[in-house]
Amino acid sequence: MRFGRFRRGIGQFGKQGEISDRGERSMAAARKNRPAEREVRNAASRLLDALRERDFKSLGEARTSCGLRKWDFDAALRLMQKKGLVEKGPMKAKGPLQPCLRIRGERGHVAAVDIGGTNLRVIVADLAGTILGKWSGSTVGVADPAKIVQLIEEGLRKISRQAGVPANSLQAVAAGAPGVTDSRNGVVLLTSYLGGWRDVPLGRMLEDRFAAPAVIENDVRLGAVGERWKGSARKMNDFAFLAIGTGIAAGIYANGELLRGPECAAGEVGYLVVPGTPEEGVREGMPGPLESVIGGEGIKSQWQKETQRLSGEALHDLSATEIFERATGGDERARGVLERSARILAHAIYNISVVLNCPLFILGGGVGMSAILKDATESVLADYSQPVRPQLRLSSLGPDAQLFGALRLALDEAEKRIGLRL
Amino acid sequence: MVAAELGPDGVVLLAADLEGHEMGRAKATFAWGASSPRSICELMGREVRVLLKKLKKPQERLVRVVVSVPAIVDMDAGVVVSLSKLKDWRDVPLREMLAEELKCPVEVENDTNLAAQGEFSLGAARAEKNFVFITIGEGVGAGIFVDGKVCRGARWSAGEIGYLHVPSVSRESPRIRGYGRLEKMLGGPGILQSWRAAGMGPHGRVKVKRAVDVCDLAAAGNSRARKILGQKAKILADVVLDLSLILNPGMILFGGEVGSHPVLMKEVKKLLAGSEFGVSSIKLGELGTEAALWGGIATGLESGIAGLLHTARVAV
Repeated sequence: MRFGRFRRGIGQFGKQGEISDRGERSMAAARKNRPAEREVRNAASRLLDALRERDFKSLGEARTSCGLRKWDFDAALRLMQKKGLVEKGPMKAKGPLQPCLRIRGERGHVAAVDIGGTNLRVIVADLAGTILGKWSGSTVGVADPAKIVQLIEEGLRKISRQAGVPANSLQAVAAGAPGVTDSRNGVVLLTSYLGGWRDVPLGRMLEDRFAAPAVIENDVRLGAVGERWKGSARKMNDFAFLAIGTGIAAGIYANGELLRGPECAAGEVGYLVVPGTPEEGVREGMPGPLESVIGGEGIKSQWQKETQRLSGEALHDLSATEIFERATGGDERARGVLERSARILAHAIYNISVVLNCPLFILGGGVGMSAILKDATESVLADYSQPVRPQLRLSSLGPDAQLFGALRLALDEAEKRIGLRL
Repeated sequence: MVAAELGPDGVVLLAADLEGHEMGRAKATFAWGASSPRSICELMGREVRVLLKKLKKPQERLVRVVVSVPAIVDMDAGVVVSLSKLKDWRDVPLREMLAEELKCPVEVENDTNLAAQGEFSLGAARAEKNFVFITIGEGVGAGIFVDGKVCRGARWSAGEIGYLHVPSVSRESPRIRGYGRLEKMLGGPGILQSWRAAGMGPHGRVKVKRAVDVCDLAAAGNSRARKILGQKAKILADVVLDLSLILNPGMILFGGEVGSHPVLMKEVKKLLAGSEFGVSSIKLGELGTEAALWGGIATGLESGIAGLLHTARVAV
């Protein structure tokens, strides 16, 4: 008995540790009889994250894996049970051990949307993060934001019908848009796709249509969120997700925070000037200097110029990846294009890493996903001396990075709505 | 409260009270060859004690000392990673060494970050939480504020823009290779070098000792100086453009001995007026060369007062 009391004593005072003075702790406890609300909510969202990753065999295991103090953990668990978000498993089941905690995913659902220049993709997931269905449609020729919202609704309805999701259980929607996006106010400020949107209050439009909170974010920043959650940059606090497709942009995390900038234009690195980019000034509506050379179209035109110069004729259209493959196959002309692209990309990566002391770059997008380009760029970077040598990784989520990012934001928003996250 | 600025050849001290009002200053240069970490610590200890005596304050009243160093600083450990201008300065645990010497809490921070902090607390960036402070003096560096906090990067070296690769540098000096090429061209010594390399102009001999003199000459209309500054402004414009695109700051401030000269800023603004994309407002820092000292005081006040309150609460 004595031993038990002793143990409990350690649990309350010793191990908890933050406040060593027994008197002070017990006074605070008597006054409030529970930890601060903020801490509980914080603990709850951490526990929820951990439960989405894996199952736990005991409560203790769950607690230590989240690094939570017992006090906070218990309060968080109570809160989540009260909100109906988590249920305890069978305590003493025979046979193989059962997970001790389960997220009641069916408590609510979220939708993640990726609005692209050509495709519209929608996924629906439950609160446990399990994806229940996907839908994709075309945005070619669609310029009206109201039409896009209508398409999203169509997709949502289809998924809901197939997966048997009740229409009223939608807790949050998150959407990524290809352009300068003000996520605080839910407005797409500017995009050159979709027939050129300007100041479209997409967030409010989605909220009105779906009667649920909506989050809007730039698609590349969503890519960074996705890679940090489930991709190549898990739990990293400093990294940049570099999307190289037709255009180039970066989603940058610095010190665990996503960089946005007061005008929401942080990471528009397609307009960077580095050695080798064209000199003439940029006109509005035209691609930036960097993307005009190593964006998808830029590489194609490099190739056309190179073939014209060396063999007097322009070869048939090749995609960037095909050109890079030819380079490894020994094609001199393709080799030239690859080397030039790698050199310029290395300059751009180096500059971002110098400014922010960013140690990791995740390469995504149609051109960026090429392993050949990555290897060539790495070997150029190896020649630069610098405080930190940036590491390059290919995106492991590929085109799904944005969707996962949107899903993550939708889940966060849903947690806020339920009252778990601040 | 004392802020100290460690330069390549001396220390400057600034004492302030807890309301941030200046109480006194002191300046000391290193004796020849006495620039090892140990002797500099002793020198600073001595100077701080002399300054306190002059102010008729007992040493126990010293709440905090903030030291600015022109180097990359590991803020967790309080270690100066490397200081190229002084010998024997590699991985120096300056915070602990000074705390022992002065018997009071010490903070060590990069000079540019402190200068940015100074402009944020007392200078031109008071209303702006996202800005970049670019300093051009002997070297070139940037202090980056994101949401009201200094951005230091994964290995404490964020803002070392002297190493950037920009087109106007590689075009003009394909010969200088590698490390800090931009810094070598844009910094004070680089400007002087260009001046000398430009040779004898039609204006004959003009006495030029410092990079600022070249700026003054340019302002007065000297064509040779104007040409040089035009080149430097082109480099700086590229830097500003790249910083704006990566960070999208609300404001860019110029500081440092050369950077705070209005001529350079005017040229850069002229160049950037052409490419309208993403460049925010450019201004001069308000604190001039004292930004780092005042930034030190501001930092010290914040953490020092928090510390005092804490001890007071424990005592109650």
